[in-house]
Amino acid sequence: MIMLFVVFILVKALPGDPITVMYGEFDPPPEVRKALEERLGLDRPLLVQYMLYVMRILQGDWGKSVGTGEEVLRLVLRRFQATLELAVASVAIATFIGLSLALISAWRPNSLADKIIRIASVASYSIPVFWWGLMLILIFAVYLQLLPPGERGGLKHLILPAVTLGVVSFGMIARVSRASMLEVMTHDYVVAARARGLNEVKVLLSYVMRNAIVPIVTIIGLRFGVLMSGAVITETVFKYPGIGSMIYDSILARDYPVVFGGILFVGIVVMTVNLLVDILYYFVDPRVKLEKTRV
Amino acid sequence: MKSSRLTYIALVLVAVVIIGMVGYFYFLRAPEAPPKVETPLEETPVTFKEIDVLKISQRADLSTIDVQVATDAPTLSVLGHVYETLFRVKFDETGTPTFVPHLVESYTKINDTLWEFRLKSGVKFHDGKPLTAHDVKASFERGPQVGSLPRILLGFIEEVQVVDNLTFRLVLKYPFGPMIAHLSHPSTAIIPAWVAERFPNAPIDSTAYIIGTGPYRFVEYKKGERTVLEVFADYWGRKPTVKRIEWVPIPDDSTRVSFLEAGTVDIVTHVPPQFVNLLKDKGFQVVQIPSVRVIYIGINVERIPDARVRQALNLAVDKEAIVKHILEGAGSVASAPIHPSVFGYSKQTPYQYDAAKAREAIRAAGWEGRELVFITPQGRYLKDREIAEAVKAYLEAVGLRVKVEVMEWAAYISRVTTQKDFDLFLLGWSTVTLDADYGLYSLFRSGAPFNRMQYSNAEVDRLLDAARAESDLAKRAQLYAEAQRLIWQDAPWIFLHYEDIIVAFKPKLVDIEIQPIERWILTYAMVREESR
Repeated sequence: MIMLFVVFILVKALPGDPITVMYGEFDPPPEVRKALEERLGLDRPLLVQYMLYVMRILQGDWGKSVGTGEEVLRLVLRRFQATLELAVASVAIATFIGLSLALISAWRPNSLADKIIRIASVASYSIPVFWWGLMLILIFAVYLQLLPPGERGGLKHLILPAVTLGVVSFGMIARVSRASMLEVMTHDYVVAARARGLNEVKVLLSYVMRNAIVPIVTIIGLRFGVLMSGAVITETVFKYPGIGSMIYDSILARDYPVVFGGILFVGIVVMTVNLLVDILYYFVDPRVKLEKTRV
Repeated sequence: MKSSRLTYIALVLVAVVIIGMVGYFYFLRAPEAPPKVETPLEETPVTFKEIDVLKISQRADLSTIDVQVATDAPTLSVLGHVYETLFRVKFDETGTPTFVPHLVESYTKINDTLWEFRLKSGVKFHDGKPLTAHDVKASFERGPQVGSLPRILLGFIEEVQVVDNLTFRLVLKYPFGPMIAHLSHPSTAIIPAWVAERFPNAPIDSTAYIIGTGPYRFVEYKKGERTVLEVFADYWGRKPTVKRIEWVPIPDDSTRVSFLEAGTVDIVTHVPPQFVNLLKDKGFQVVQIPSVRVIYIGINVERIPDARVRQALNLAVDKEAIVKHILEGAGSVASAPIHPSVFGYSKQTPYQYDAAKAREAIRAAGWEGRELVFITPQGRYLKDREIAEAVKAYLEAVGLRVKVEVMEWAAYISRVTTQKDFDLFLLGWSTVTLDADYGLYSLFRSGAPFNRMQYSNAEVDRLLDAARAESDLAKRAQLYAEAQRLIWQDAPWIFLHYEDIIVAFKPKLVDIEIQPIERWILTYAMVREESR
């Protein structure tokens, strides 16, 4: 609610309003301005506008887009579903690549493979998203014509944007995981496990991975949270109708009901994801359980 | 330690080289032009096939769903397939417009301020109701209430009188030369009377009320994703050859072009000039025609009252260079405040780029070293920001200081409209009625709504008023010529250029009508097939 209030004030403070934008180069007729301001409640004091908005939200009325009359809740839900699909797919890709590379890195630190992986990880989050996106479009959609260049509609459409986001996200996951695993590897129980002659795969997966998992879950959860609020650039490059580009476009059009509805929804989702990650600790880290029972 | 650092550097270099090569191969290397095979025409029988789904991508989504409120070309192009006007404009190969009756069967002039029109019979709205004179009356009464464009376009009408179901009369406030041109503009489209009465003073707020008489019904709208039109079975006119049109807004230029290259869409509009050759080489059809949109830098006359200074500003800017290098040829230098294809256009002597003369004039007027505030939008017009930066450099080269403020559109237009705290502003204006009245009256008449320069010249006012009321075409043209001469001399603008329209589409598409008023009509598009 506080967040929504801040956004409310900030967006309203922007010069320009939805009515001006709708009329382009022209001035809207004054009577229309008046009628629309009444319809949108723009003629009331800011605080009253905010209270009314919250009241309506609580009653389940998210309002309509100013220019085109689309129901905000329906719009937000549709866009969010697209964002969710993209976030899940790209986090899955990033986690798979990131963890696999981290395992190889941690298994033989400072080897050539490790160095390549470390450079790749840095490159992953240094290379601009739009560049990756355009490259993938050019290669797979324009030259090879294997995949559609974007939009939504089935798995085929999801591949390119998900891979793009996956590629830019795996680096962080790989680095954090590698660091966390290396730290765990110095522990006595890993040395002991190896000394007992357990095979290396088992050591890595059950001993190292298991104990290094908390920071890994944290970073994956954070990444997921970020992606849930939309990936404006990726969405723009691929013309993928996610929630990020929806909010961005509506800010430009000063389409207040859509901006507020979108941000409110994203806020709720991000909070929920963070809560879920916290709950997840309980399952992956036995210490969380123990401390609770002790208290 | 040293060797590991070397390995690092080596790996980084390898990575850079790989990235560079990928970039070179996929970005810079222009694909070779496909070999052109000359085939004698008579040996290839050509057939034309109708189209089930045609996908077109414009730069912007619908800004509103109300045809009487809409002011922007992308929205009016979509709604132009749904709604129809009393008259319509057609262009010949040279781009010369003619106006022909459309929903109107016949019309007669009773006297200078009274006209009688008869509607075609058998025209139906998408809700099945027949078009009547009552719908015309309701549309023309609502239009000026809700829309800025109809307010200008229909401002000459005193009253609409319904004679019978298909006959109506227009009582004019004054004799009005450009009447037919105005009644061809999409903003004067006819909507059902019951919709007009339901939304008397506010925009339509649900797609359920998008009901016209046009060849297409409005069937789906998803904000930012797509707008779908489907052919209207009971359409009165020639049967459309395209069954379904999907409009996909893609604001990003590279993405829009790549959608065409990948075959995801059939047509893209607003193609940036740097992609023209690439697309042509790949076999796409690229149509580049001059539009009626003039791009100008308005001068706040209240803050720069000295006409010599304003003329010097015009001399200081090299328009040729802007068109050639910034627009990459996608435009032509303006030779009047309105485009040559507009009725009433009169060619002026361009302000030839002459920095020395401009500097001298600025110095003589005591303006040297003064700071000008120049506001510009970004992304609204072709290369708007780049043009502003260039103009800044030109003006600074003649002894002025310029502060450019780049603003996003909503903030920009609200500032241009409500405040006068700037000296220069960049805007565009399309004379979409193709008549000088629209391109001059609203912009240069004292106190006119879009005279944001606050320009005022009593003689210009007199000429524009007289031209409006004159029904003799030759006399009207003469009045406009004189008005343009004075405006050009007073220089309330830095007259820049006319923008080109660039549209690209798939190799075999034919009969796509691209109008210089930035409208594309897809109703009768077909696919050309050559079979041996």
